[in-house]
Amino acid sequence: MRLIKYSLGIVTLVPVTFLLWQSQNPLGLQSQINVISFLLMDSADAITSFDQIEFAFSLLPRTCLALLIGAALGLTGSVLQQITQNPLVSPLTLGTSSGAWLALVCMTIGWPMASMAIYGHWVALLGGILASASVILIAGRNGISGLPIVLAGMAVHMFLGALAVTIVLLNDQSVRILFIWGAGDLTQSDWFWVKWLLPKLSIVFFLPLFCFRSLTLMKLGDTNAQARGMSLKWTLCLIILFSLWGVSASITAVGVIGFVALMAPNIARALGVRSSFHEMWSSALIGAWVLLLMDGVAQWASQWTLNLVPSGIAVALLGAPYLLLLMKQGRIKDNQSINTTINIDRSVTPFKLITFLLTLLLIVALSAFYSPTLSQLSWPSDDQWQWRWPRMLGAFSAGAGMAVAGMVLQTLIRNPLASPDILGLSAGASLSLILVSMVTGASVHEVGPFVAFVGSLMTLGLLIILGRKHQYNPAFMVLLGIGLMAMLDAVINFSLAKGGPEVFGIIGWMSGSTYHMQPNRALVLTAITAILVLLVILLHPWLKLLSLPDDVAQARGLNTSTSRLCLMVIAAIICAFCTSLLGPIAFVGLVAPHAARLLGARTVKMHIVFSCGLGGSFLLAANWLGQVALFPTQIPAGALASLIGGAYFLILLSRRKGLLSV
Amino acid sequence: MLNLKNIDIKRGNKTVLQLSHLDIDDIGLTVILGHNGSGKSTLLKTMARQIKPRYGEILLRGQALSALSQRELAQNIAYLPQSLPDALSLTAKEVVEMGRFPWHGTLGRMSSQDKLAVFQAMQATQIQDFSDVLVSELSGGERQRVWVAMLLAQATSLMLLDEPTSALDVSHQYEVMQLLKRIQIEQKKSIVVVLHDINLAARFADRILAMHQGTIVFDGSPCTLLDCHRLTELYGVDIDVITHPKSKIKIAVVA
Repeated sequence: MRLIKYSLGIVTLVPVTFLLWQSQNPLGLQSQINVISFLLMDSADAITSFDQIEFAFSLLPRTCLALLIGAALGLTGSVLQQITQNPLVSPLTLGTSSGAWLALVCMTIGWPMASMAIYGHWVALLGGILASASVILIAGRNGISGLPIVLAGMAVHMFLGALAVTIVLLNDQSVRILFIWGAGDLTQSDWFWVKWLLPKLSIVFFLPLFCFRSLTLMKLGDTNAQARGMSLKWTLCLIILFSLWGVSASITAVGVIGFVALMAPNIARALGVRSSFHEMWSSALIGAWVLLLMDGVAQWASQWTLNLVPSGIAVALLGAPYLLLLMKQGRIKDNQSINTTINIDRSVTPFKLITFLLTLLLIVALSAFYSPTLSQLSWPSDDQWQWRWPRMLGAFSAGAGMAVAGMVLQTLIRNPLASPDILGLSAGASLSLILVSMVTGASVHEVGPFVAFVGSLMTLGLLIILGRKHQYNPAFMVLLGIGLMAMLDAVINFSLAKGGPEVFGIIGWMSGSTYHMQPNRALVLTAITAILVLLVILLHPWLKLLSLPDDVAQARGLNTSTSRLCLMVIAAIICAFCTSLLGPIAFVGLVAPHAARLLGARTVKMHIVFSCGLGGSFLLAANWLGQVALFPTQIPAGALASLIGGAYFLILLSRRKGLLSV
Repeated sequence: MLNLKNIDIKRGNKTVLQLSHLDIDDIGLTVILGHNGSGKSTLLKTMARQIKPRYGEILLRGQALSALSQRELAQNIAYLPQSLPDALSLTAKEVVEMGRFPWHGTLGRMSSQDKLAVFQAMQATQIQDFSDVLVSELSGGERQRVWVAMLLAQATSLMLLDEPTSALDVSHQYEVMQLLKRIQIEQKKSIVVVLHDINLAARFADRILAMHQGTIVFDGSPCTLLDCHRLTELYGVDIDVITHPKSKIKIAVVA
């Protein structure tokens, strides 16, 4: 049976790939062989015609690169998935890619003279290791094989993304090249990168030979592996280091190509590969084939769109649906218990309440009266007031709304790491906005609110349609959101790379600025947020019941799928409104509910109210700080909130072990 | 109270539950016994409408169970599944109050009757002292009492519990069963409990249902079950029934 599967696969796929490859190729077979033999004999002078040159120096190196990187990614994906015993782990979900990307962004800006080829891979490796290490640290020993590591990875991914955007915004030199590269581009004009990559990746290809025994032992679980005499820590560190090295080198050469590493081992297992050693080799082969195929698709698509379609996007566009398919077939356990909690032995004291209210008052006073031009407090003139109050009100309502949306989603998904961004709603808004402003040429801030709102609602619709079969199972919804987000991110990167001068407007919008907040918009936002937050408070019995397992909630008389859908829609609408008026605001929804617990909110009702107040004050403070910190340059409130919130979050997680222990 | 007729549940080709007829009495403590995979949890879930059988009918006081709305169901039957979360960011009182959900509904407020029911449930289970403590901070025995209090607050005439003693040590196992027995007698309820331990079951049950491969192989009082031949046949190991030297209670032990 397995043999039939293998041979059927090979019989159909190899010719298809070869034909696709040949269709890109103007040369006949005979002259192809001639060109290759010229190259091998090192007599490149003999290659004369344009078609031959294109074949020798563009198509061939591109193909080799695709095979090489595909194989390396497939292999590392398999190794990482075997170590963690988790089919969802890949450099993308571990945060390696975004860490490496951020490191390289910093390098291009802070150290422009440095050549990417000389230092790039070291910088990328450092960034990748730091990011992955923090993800593993956050998820903890127990979380590594389940959903927690994926959630932790997405949180780190968002934090690093916010950091990168801020850096780009503060250094408005031409960084567009970074976006193309961020989208994963395989276009080649000579053999340079192939020759650069080959020796660096060849180490990785020997990985299976010396680690398959350890990986087989790992299947028994880590205590068992240790009991069989394996020195777990060092073996794992070494294997992970080699894998990250392969990923970082690939990222330096061609940019972020995420899904291959996730897909290849899963395909291998679906085909019936069982043993550790075979899985590694077949993942490498499948990875090479997948990337080659996707690259063919990308090239083919480029013929029709006039624009160049980066291969990374083709991979993401086809990879994300595959991820969903995997979940549908039940190959990925989507009912893993992710009941987690934050244990804090505190309660609300009057002292804390008064401190909090005084802080809020101070923030409001500073936002209203502090004049950054004069660096002093003064009564605002009418003009200044007209300018300040909508921004203050907008920031507060958006923060409050996102915090409540986050609190609701964290309860529904039963994980303190969930946040509104994780369902892909912000990404949906950004995407629709970018597409519309590219097609019509209108400014982001004119078409903004309405289009973004439609975008997030469409994402929500997609989530609802796809999730219905699974009764809106929380874990399934998270994976769905992550898949959608990865897909939308790829398209966003691509559009930003191809766009004209409006790109900076879009990046500005994406970092969540209150700069364009007009009075009527601020009022609408406040009214809608207030109504929806009240609705959530009214529905708090549902929230309590839904924090229990489904069967317990049903036995108390709750229709779990309907009520969950209702609450999710409310959270999505809040999120859509805030996103459309201010831009995506990450981390407020993640951090505020957690801080509310720290303040001592014990009951669900109190938790809602406190999250709301804290989120609002937090974004208000970020808004003010962003305006005065680097005056006259303004840092958008959303970007600053992500930075502060993200940093707080990471520190908290590294200090408090067991937040995610299942 | 509850009548099950011609129930047939299959998983793949394997029959998990097959009953021609079963009535649950209006008052009494019924224990379902059986080894792993004998279908006892499936039977309990079927009674709680967690599983809807394709064939057969279930009547609650003459009315089809499938015709009830989720809230009506919860007003009549209180079910507690086997696996319950240890870590939960809710206070004990909030958990008990959730038992009142079928009565006050989504938007309704807690009436004085609701509050009284919550108070009495917490008193009966003796958990008033930690009403403001988070469930995750309680010990296993205390947590189990909180869950039972939630069932009590629900004020149904039928309570279904799936292995409520499985995660507890011996003294807490007896404590929980004593609590259930007391509630059953005081409030004249019908309680159905799935258990593993024959002796625990024999000590507290009015009626025992023993299951094997999806069918009920014994239905009767504890005294008739405590027979060495019957038990040996049921469990497939040699079981002797001896009399406890002090309390004179019959005990089943593996020979």
